[in-house]
Amino acid sequence: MIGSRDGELTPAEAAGLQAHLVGCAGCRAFQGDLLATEGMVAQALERAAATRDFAPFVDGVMARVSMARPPGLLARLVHQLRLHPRLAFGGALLPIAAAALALFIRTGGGDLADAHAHAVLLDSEGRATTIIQSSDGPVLLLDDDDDGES
Amino acid sequence: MEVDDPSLVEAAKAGDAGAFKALVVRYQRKVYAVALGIVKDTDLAWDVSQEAFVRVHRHLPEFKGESTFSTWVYRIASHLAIDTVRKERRSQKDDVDELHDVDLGDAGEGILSSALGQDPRENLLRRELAGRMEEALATLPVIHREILVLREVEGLSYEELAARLGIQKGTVMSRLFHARKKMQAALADYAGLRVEGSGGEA
Repeated sequence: MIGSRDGELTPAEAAGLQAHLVGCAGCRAFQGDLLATEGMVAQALERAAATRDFAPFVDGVMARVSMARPPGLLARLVHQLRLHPRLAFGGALLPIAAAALALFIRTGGGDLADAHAHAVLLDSEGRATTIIQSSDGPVLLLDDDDDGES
Repeated sequence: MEVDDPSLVEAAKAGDAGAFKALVVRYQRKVYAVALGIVKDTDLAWDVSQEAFVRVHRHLPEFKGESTFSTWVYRIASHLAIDTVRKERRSQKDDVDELHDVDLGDAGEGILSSALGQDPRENLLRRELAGRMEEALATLPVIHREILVLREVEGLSYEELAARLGIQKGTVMSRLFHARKKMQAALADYAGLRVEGSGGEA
């Protein structure tokens, strides 16, 4: 309570303090010391601050602010991939697999590819014969009245 | 004409780097003084006070003006300073958390007021004592340094200290009492010697 400022003590606390000080020489002396050295702690620290050269301080703060800025999306992605190499490997394979599948479909490979008919009409001696170009090679379609002998 | 804090804060929030720098320059010395009082080391205080402004910059969008800007930045600085000391002295628990002191019954009450009141070279002794203040403050446990700095440098009231530190008002008064007793003991040694010295010369 000793060293309190105006308004910090309740009326009861202030009265109690005053009553105590009347009978306690040690506390009165302590209060005297506080009054004698009032403000000196702040003065000492502020004087220490005043003796320091603060010219580079704000530039140092701004440099730290720049370094502390959150990284961009690409930097965060790279960081995550470094932390999880298996994920990175899988992620790298995915576009390769997708490209391979697209190429496979485009070139019509295997059983998955639909045979597409490319009708070629051959006119031989007045008769039309249809040849279908399938993925397995040309297929000759005979007409109904064609016994295949020609 | 000097721009007030709220205007600078709003400009800084909007991305004005010059406004933020102006706030830094305005409060850098006092923030450093707060940090120095707690961490004791000048280089560490420099580091802590710069880092305090970095955190201010980061959290500026969240600052709603419920307290003044200066109160807010001092609070950040003192928290950072305490955290720094705790990290550095984790093994010395008694230094950080000691509340129960050795007997302070005979701390030389009255020596300071007597010396400063009776010494014919009062101004000189006052200046010398002021120079010893920082040394005396450094001898205190961090928990006492902290409350003394917050009280003396930031000027916080008992209620503000209680809120800041998360303790009861009674604990604030008790902790301040112990902190000042220790300071008095540290300074009384010096003041007592000086008084004896001046008496001998007379």
